[in-house]
Amino acid sequence: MIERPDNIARHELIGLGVDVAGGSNPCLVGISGRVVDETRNTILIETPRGEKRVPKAETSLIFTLPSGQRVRVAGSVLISQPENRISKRMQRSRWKL
Amino acid sequence: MSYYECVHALPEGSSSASRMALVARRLGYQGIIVANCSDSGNIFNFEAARKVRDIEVVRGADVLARDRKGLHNRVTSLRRRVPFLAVQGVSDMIVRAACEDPNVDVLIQHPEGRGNLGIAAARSAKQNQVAWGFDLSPMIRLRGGQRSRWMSIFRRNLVLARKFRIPMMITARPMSHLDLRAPREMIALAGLAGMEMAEARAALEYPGRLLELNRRTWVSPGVELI
Repeated sequence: MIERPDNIARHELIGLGVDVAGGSNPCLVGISGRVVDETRNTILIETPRGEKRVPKAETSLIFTLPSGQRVRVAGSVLISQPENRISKRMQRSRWKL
Repeated sequence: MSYYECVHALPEGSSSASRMALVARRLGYQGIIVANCSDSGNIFNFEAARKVRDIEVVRGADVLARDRKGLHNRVTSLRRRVPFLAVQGVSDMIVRAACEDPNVDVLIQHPEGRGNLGIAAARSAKQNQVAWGFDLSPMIRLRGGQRSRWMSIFRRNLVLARKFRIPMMITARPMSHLDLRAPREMIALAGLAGMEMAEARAALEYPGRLLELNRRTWVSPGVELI
């Protein structure tokens, strides 16, 4: 499956560049790096200052796709085990924050 | 704080959109949404209203449908054209259908209390992010028993909106510039009907937030192009 903005919520995230654009924890905002691991509720980001674990809930993430396209994703739509996310049914709402 | 009001302008109301914009600016609104029930292209001299400075004038649509199919067709055709789409809850069936449609932004309570929010509709509204619009014009217009009945319906809907955490919006649905009420008057009216001040403030700010969200480019739920 080719990574496109519309299917990123159901795609493999490991290897993508990511910036934490917003969240309930201000200490996490501004973390930038590459996704190296993922659990149901968190992603692990490799940064120049070490690996940082960021919760998906209440966080806004900006992913850089291999094509260079940047998309902002509400972390709550990514909450799922990575192996199950591919088959997850998406909500019908237009936006979700 | 950016307060918005949803108005009906000429030819549906009795004042032009420009007059509404000027009065709304004086009252302290940051924007008005001109949402006529008729075809959204049919607003008298809308471009002149957009030139009024220090206030944002946005074109919206208010859908008045009789049945589920009519509602669906109208909402689908208007969705791409307007950033704000309200539906009048004229019957329980329309309320239920609108709550189940994620393309609907706000479902406005009927002034006579015909369409009410049920538990199933409230659950769907929460899931589809459809806000419940409280129309406060009966509070101003009605008297005696009629107003009392309207307030009991208002409170019942408010309880459900709170329970299911449905976003709320308040409007006076002004048809003329004389019907416009200042934000603090709207908050006071909502307070009389049973809303808390913080809720009323958030309800007045909700249309602005909604417009901001609807103007972004969403490719799928929660995913936005930058």
